[in-house]
Amino acid sequence: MLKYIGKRLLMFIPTILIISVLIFFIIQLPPGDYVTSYVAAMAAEGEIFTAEEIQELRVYYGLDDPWYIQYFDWMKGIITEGDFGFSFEHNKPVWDVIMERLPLTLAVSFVILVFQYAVSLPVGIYCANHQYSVGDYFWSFVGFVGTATPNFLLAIIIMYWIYVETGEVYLGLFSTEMLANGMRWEYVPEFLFRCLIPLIVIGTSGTCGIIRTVRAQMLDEQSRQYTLTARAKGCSEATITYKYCLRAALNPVVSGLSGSLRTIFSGSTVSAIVMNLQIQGPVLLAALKSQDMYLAGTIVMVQAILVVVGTLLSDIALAWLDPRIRFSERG
Amino acid sequence: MTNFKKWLALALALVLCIGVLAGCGPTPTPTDPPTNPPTNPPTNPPTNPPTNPPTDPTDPPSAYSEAPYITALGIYGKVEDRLPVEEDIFVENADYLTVGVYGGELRRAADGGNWSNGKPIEEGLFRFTTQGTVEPNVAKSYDVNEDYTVYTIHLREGMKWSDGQPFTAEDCVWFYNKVCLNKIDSKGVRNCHKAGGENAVVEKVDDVTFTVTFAAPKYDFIEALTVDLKWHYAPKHVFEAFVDAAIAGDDATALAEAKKISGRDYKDAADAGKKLLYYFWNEPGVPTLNPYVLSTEEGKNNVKGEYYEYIRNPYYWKVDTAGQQLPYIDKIVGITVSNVDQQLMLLLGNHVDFFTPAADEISTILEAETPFDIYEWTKDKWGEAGTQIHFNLAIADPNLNALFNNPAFREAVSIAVDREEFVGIYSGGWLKPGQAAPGKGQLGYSEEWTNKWTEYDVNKAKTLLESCGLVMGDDGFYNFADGTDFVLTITSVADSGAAETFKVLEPYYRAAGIKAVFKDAERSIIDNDLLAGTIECMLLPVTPIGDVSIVLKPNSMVPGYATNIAWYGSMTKETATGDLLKLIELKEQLDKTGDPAERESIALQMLALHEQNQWTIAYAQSDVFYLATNPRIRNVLVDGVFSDLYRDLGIAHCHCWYIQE
Repeated sequence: MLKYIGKRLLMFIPTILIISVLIFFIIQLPPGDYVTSYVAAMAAEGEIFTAEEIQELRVYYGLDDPWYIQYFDWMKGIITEGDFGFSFEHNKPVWDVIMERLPLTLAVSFVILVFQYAVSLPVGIYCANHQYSVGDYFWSFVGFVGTATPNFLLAIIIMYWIYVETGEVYLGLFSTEMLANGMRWEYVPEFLFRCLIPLIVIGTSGTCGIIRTVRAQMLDEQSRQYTLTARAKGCSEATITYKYCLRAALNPVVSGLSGSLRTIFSGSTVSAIVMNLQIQGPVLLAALKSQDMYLAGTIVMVQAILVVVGTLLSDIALAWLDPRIRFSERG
Repeated sequence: MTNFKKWLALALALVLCIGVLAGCGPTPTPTDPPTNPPTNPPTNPPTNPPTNPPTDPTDPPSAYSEAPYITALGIYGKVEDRLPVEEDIFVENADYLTVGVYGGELRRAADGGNWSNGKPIEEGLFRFTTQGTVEPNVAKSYDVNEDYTVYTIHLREGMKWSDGQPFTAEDCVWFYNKVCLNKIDSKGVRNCHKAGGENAVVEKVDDVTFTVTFAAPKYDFIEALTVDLKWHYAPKHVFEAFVDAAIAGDDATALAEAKKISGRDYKDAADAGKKLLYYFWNEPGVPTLNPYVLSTEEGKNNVKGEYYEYIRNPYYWKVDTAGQQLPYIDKIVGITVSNVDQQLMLLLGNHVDFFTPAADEISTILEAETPFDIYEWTKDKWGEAGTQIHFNLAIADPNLNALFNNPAFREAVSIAVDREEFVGIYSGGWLKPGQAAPGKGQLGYSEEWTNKWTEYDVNKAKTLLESCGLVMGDDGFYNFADGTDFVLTITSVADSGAAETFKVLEPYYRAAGIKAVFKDAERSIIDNDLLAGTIECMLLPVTPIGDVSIVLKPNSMVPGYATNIAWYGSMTKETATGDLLKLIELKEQLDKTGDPAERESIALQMLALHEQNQWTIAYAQSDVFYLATNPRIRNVLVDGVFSDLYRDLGIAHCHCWYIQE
């Protein structure tokens, strides 16, 4: 097992390097560059640049070099100084921009992740154990609707409904008063209510997806021979469900965790924009739109690293969870 | 299992704590002023007719008072000591203003733009009036010698920066000689300071006087200054060390000095110079002459952050006619949103006080339970921007170039469309049919021009196209005389609404025998193509033609003055011919003319060339600019013109707005 992990870790370095080249190349693919976007944004606000000024800006930001030179300089900074470059848009070191929103992003994403698994696992098991019951149909209906409804649409519907019912607009996790005065105890109920909206909006589709997966896997496992054998030997239904079937049924769920690390880091994007959540997703979108390449490149690269790490962790978890994988690994 | 529960409970509690802590901003310090200081009783209910007794700025109020917010702080001393000397105090006495009451917060939502916070509070040396003339603002007055080579600017004696330090001519002279000449603010010497191929010489005469001397007559210096540079000053006492280090190329010292000012790190000295000396209103710790100054408190001092505050300047140098030091409102508080729809939601939810809605959002605002005030201002564009068509008159393809430069072709494209029907579909009745022409109240306006080439006549359009040498093909579309297909490729920005507009226009073109195709692309691609001058024809151009003054801001109207105008593309004086060359020459002649009557005559000649040639086409008259405000906001300008030249909302003089609950 250790050899396997070591081998995977060694593969990690070239994988990340290849990914970083691809990321940098793809971000540079659209015509124009940050200066083009910047000049256009300023023109919309009435500030006009001359051709000479535009060229000077390009030289200043180092955008007149070929992309591979820019990539080399960027990687050199990362490897030798831990410097991920400078965000043109935010006018700050890239890592500072990322760290500004990271605590809130982690908090929101982690709560949503916990919510998804805390709700979906018991419901999925219930549905499998009570197949074709009223409860199963109800949760299946909820699952299909939840999976099929785009998060941003759900966000708009919920915000509209709250506005119609209360006359209040809930945008973001913090009200203007909270931002102006700092967090106080009297704001906690409103803060929790504000947290509830993204929790429902972003958490729902994931939850519904996992419910369907767990239900299907559980039903599959319940018809396997080892289940029949256990039942024939007189094992209790609880033991069969939780000790045997659930462990096997969790395989695809645990595999899905590999992507969760990435989601935790960046959070949702479109829904976050709709709900005005100050998390990482909208920053990435804005960076891609304005071709703020070092910021966009760093966020995507960190996401890629997290996917690779997540895949490794989920593989290890799978091996721990499912004895069959351990045995096959031993050959 | 019990352990698992404990761990789960612990994890959830931890997550909750992280969430709460992440939202915790700094708590107010004991020295913080009350956020809502008690307001004075209304001295003049807003429903009363305006009461502005002194109409002459030389007749100042007899006594001065300050906001309770400032009094509550108890650290600023007497208001008289903070204002300029009595005869130099600026009295805001426009006819539409009423005497307001102090207090409250002006709440706004924005997307963190550089200028959206700056323009409404900007204080130039001179400023535009709503009539389009220029009047002294930070400056008290100016003189000019007979040959327009030496301008003497007089400042207001006793005026102070927002940190209480004296504002003198030295700040203006130093700004030009150190900051502009060395390009520390990234912009360098503006066109307003250039004449006869040389930069102006700026010299101090005394504490309240400085001169600007040109090598050749500079007839429009004051207007050009108001357009190009605007402020012409910076607080020397704060920036001297930073600027000296930046000039010497000592980046480390410059960055350390910059950090002393704003508490922020910058990429390098050039970056710091641009942020601190050009976009200075967005940086904390920079003293200004503006009515509001960005907070220095962490959590409230980042205009790109979630929340920020601009706080009243205790040394502001303007008063109302009753002697109350302006501004009335204590703070401008801003929250950052992701898109325009959220601004509308926040207005409807009574979380922001003003918003600039598009025409299709007006009905939503009118249907809201809260009655909002909606102001309609004139726009400076020639015709509705969404219906403007720009033919690239400098396009490389010889066939297209000849065609686009033929007035008969442009007339054909114009009259091929039934405007009455088109605007009905396009705007649902909001707009009127019209042409790309100056709107009412703008120089050059005439009903005749507004209606030029607007009569729908498809047969005449075909005749005109044939007069351009086009030949009808078997497929019912015109081809070039050499047999090659003529396809009018119309480009625009993706998701801008132009695709929908094209769908309405295309059947008209088809009926006239013009094969038109539409392609759209991301904004960055369009901008790149505009810079390269390769876009053939553009619908809803990135920068529409039209501005309040062809004299002061010719960018969209005279070739060679901008890099992203679709109709003249990469054309310059060297490549222009005919009336286009004449237009450029007239602009040059205008720059060399001092006599106001003659200048206006030249401007009218330039506009006449536009009218005669109609280089751009529009199918509808310009719509209006809407400003929706919470009814508690008073003293809002009713008949404004929304233009960058007038600093957009800046012309509304937000420092005169007040809150009447």
